[in-house]
Amino acid sequence: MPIIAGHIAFYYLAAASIASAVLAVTRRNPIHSMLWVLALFLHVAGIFLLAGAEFLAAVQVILYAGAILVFYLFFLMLLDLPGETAEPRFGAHWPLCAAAGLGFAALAWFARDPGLVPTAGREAATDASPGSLSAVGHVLFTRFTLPFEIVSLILLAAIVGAVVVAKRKAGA
Amino acid sequence: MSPLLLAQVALTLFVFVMLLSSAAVMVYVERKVAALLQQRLGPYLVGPKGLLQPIADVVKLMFKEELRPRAADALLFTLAPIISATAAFAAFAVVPFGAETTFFGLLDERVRLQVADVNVAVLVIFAIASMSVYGIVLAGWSANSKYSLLGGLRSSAQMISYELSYGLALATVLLVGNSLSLTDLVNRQAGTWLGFIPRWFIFVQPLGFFIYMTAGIAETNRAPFDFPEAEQELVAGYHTEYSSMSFAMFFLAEYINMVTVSAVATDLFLGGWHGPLLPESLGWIWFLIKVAALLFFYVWMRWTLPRYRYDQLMAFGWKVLLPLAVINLLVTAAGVLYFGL
Repeated sequence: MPIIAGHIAFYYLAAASIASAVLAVTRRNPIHSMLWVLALFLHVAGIFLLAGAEFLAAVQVILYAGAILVFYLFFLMLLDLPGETAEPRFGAHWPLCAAAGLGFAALAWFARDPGLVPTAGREAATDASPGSLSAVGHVLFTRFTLPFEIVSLILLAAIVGAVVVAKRKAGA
Repeated sequence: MSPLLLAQVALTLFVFVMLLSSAAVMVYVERKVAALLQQRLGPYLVGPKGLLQPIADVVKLMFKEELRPRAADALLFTLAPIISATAAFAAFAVVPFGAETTFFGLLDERVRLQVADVNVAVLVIFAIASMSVYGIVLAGWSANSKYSLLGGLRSSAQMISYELSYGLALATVLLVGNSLSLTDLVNRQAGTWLGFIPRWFIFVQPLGFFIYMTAGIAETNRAPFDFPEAEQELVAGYHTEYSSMSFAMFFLAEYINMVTVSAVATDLFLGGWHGPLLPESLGWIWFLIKVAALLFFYVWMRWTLPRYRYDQLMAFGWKVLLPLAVINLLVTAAGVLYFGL
């Protein structure tokens, strides 16, 4: 891809990602917010594609946009919409959330030095396209086995928690 | 414009037109086969043997009034059928349907009979399939009608449940074929064992094929898993409030999704365009025959099996199909590791 086209594509994707993220937190209608999150996920997948990580892009769409977001949508569809949209959009804890967001932004700013981030994504991205899947798989089961296992443990705890909550409701 | 680019554009247009007309043909076949199975005649008035019936249907739909409930979310109500139809067309873009060809010597280079050759094609198909649920869910929600909402909810629950088994069935084939590209996977199925059994993955992965087809039928919302549009309970499910061409788009999407699921099954399990007798350059004839057979199976299923109950559907998806798919994946992975298939 020519350099200029690549730059234009990247800045479009980045700007659209930020815009849809802002829209997602400011819309009154929760379903509309959710759809802006969908737009955000698709644009992030576009950034992965631009970086040559086709596998990560596909996983981004399949897992985040196709599975997790649909679960949220499932729940939101059952909300009482007129009541929901009438209430103020931001709760009293918004300064806390803003601070957390700024914290993440600062983290991203410090992490932008290429020497600082030995992530799986980077190694996958530098590999040629058919290799990106095997590259991700390889580092996942060698260098990053421990973090990978920790993440699965956390997810397991979340699943057990969900089952407990569901059981309690059914019993009451 | 170079001849190669011209050929690609022509190929893309050809696939688009073929998908559109395949939906029309499927409407006719569906009605004729249904009539056969129920000992009726089916459409026979419009054109010879009723062959022009799909055209009459389309013309009728075009002249219908486009209605929208007053309480509907206008933008999403319009967007939902577009999402459904777009996702349906997009998925077929990465499906190869024939061997490389020069179009009878018209081109200097050989092109693949496929709109886009993507090296992660299987994942792309899976990603687009997971996107298509949005069309249905948003249609159900935006119409602001009870029947639509229930249809949309059922559909999202059903599609999420069966997507897992669908994905695991795909993953098993990838393990056996050791590639993510559909063209590579098809080419690995060329030739025969012992001189007469074709090297199709269905013989290595019969369970995988069963899981794939079952989950595929559930994903495309076809009977016996057509809960999102169960007429007796939900009027028409998620598209209750749709009329005219926006209804037609959902209809179109359903039939094109069937074609795509069958075409992917042909590429993954039935050897794609490989078959006896015909030379490789005419392999697309084999491909068409196999897809047609699977589509007939689809229609046959619909008019033979009654609809399951909703809790049966969920129990089957989570307690039977998913464990089967996981075990199949583990056994296949162990087999590949041990025997180095």
